[in-house]
Amino acid sequence: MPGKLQLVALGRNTLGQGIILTGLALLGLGVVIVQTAVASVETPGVAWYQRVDLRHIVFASMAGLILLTLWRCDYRILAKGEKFPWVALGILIFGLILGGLVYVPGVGHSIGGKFRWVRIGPRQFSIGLQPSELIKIALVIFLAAYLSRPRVNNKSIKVFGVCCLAIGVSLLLIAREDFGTAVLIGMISFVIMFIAGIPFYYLFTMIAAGAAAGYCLLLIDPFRINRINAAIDTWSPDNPAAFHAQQAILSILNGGWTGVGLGNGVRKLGFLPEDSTDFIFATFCEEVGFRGALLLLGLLLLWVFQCRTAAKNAGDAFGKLLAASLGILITLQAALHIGVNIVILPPTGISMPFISAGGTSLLLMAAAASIIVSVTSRRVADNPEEIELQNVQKAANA
Amino acid sequence: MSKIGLRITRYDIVFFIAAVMLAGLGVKLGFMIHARYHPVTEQQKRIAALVEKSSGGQKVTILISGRPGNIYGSNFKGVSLMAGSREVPSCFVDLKIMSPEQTVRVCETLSNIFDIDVVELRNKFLANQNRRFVWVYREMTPQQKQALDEAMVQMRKDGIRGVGVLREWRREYPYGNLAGTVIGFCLKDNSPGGGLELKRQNDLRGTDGRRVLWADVHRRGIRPIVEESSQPTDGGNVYLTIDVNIQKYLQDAVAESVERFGAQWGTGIVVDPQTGDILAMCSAPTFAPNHFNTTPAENMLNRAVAMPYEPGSIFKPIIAAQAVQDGTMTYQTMIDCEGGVYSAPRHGRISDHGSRYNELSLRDVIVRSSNIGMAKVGEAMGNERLWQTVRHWGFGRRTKLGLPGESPGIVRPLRKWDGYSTWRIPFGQEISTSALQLVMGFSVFANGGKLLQPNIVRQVTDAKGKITWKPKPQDPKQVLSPDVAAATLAVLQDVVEDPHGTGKKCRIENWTSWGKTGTAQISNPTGIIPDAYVGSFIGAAPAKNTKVICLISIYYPDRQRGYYGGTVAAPYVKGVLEKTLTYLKVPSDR
Repeated sequence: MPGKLQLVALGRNTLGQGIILTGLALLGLGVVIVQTAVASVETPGVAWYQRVDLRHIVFASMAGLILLTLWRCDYRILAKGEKFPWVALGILIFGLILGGLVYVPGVGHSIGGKFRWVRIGPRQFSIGLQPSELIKIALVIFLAAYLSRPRVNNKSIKVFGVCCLAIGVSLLLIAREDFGTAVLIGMISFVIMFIAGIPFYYLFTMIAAGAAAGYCLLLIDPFRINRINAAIDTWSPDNPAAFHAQQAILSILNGGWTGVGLGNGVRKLGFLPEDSTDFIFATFCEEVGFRGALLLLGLLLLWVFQCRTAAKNAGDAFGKLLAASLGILITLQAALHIGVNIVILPPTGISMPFISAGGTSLLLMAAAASIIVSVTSRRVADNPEEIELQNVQKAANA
Repeated sequence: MSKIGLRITRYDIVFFIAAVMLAGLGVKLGFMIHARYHPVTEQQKRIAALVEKSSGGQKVTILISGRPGNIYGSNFKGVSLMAGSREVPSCFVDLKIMSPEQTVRVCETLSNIFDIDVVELRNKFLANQNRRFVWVYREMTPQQKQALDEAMVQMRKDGIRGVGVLREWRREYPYGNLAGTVIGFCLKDNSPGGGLELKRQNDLRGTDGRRVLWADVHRRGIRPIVEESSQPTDGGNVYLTIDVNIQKYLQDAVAESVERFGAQWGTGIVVDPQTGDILAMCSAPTFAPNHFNTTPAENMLNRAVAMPYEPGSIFKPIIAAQAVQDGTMTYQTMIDCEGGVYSAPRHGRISDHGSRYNELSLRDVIVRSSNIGMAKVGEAMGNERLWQTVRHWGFGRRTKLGLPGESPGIVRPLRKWDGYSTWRIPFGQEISTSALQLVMGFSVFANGGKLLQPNIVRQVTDAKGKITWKPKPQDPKQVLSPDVAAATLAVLQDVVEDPHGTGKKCRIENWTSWGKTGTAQISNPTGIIPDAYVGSFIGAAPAKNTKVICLISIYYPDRQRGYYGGTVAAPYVKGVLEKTLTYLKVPSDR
């Protein structure tokens, strides 16, 4: 079946162009807003190569490059393996090993008391990675590949069991340090399994298990209850966890309809925590206002429709499921980020795809978008004449 | 393929939910922002108010102090700098941003540079652990500054940021204690502590400039706000009528007399009687403004204006001149001096010093300084006229010279005057005057009867030299007619020239001169202190077209060494006059 798919040049792939342009637009917005968010606070004694704003430009450029080039690689390589998607599993296992390294002293790196990063190399020049980002995408790819295998009955308990095993191991690794990402992974896994046709009775079991696990995690760390309270009663004076939420609301409201102008935001001057990553939407809203937020939401809606079209028109079952789940992953993450920023969700560390500062996230999101473009550019060559014509043209060019 | 094709609706559901979710977020965001502009509930109103309050951000303001202006004295050729400002660097530390190890290192480095005891400095740091600003060393020398600069470069490299240098203006007084009591002093933060520094602070002090910056949450400056920032402006300069040379003559003379006669204090003034300009004004003991913090407070007193005392016989010519002016008597009118002792009920008993006189002309009463003669003048004038005279001549009210702490003197209200007053006011008892008032009173005889407004500030300019203040033109009160003034001056010339005169010791070789002695007893609230006198002499020269008039009063000299004005003050006045006239190149008229 793979042999039937034909690579379509980007020039004739308007959907692929659209997805790439949407991604580039989001990256561009991110570069602008990270510059104003970070450039404000001078951190003395930091070398130029350690400065967040400069690093963000570098990573955003690399992400742009990935968006523009990586789609040429065939996405079907991820689903290699007749019986079992070994490649996807390999990526997932690599991610899980990295995730395990987070807990290894000396390699694991904490920001804000949370061990979510791996740092490799000498102290000054070390390269940081956020394994949870990789696990997130690898799990999505693995599930998409596993659930779209031809001639497999997705209703069997065995399939559900393998999925649950993969999801369970991933969540176990992440949930302790990064509750927000764990919830996101849980939700996207649910969505993929729902799309792939896992029966409802399995899905309900999964919801119940997830709820129970979530409740246990809440019991372990009472601070998480504070955070939930922060979303419910944001202005309670005696909740230390509500500070982020309060500052985010003040930022957004200070921006109002039109914003205070790029670079004029005041909450970013050290008041709003994580202003360039987990709360960049609030910074964005303060400086460009509701108008800017509508632009951003518009881009995300465009993204949703493009991904839906990509999934609908995909050449094979794997492509369909992959494009849909990656598209939903990015949308869902953005929605959670915005939800946290406007405090309808408890404050937690979820970055804005394509926009928040953070190299791992930027590059992997660009790769995910590129995979969707890759899906759109392999179409079923249902017209033999057209194929013949293309072959002739190719020969002529050669 | 077919399987997935069947489940295509699941895709649609998921994407539909995703789109609705995003739209919902947008709507929620819109409602949130709407509530800021149109709050309905209490909570929304509170949040909207909070947003308004916090939307301005925070600013930091750094003050840049303007240079305080100079005080110039006069000299024969031009001006001399008597008080100026110098920019000096001072070192401070911000202890809150340094770790304990860094603090220890900074402590060692700084104690080496400034030669402060390490333990002392460390204790100071420990006591102020959380302070953002602690002075380490004020006013460092250039060598210390250089050493500190080098150390700071090294410390920055090692990530220590808590040491800083502030530039301050330091007041300096190049003439040391010359006219210290007049000029006053400034504290280390440049706030004025007395004298002209205090009275003229609005002219001298520059306006502070400010650098306003947007600040982050740690109050670190982010970027300057140009519209709200301003440059400092330097303070203006004050030019004094005080001549540094004459000041030196006077100050030395008074200091010498105070020391030689073991007096409690002394004061002196030199005035140009034609213009009212004060050429010199001093107190002894005096003080050096550079060392204000090691000087006892009473030495800072400008006694020439701030300490009233009973003038004694010096006061006689003023009352006599007024009596002549009123036509009550002439200088030739004979007065019975009762053989040296005069007493009456309700008037007490008074006597003349030394000689006993029977009949004296009013001229001789002044020349020989007869108390009884003056008491008779008082009787002839009556209390009311005496009181009017005293007030008319400016006693009992401030001269408005423009120095802080000026005393109006003590003149009791007329209703409290009785027979004692009638006899004693005419020879300068029961009344207290400041030295300045006396000198201005005597200037009347020298300038044809005009009571002048004294001046000590010639002009004030701004930092660029534009004149911003000048004394008002003299609008003198004519207290005597010119011929009565001239006649009185002739009598006072005899005080110095006549062999019977009490001021013989002030006779000058090259110039004609005039003057009057005065010796008064010092009283305190319980009565007269035995053997406590204030000896004064007021002298002026030349007799015609008098250029300078000088008063020296010596308070509470040691009685064994001498206490008469003719002894403790006259020779020194003579010295000051001689030097001053030579310095001013006044041609000899003898």
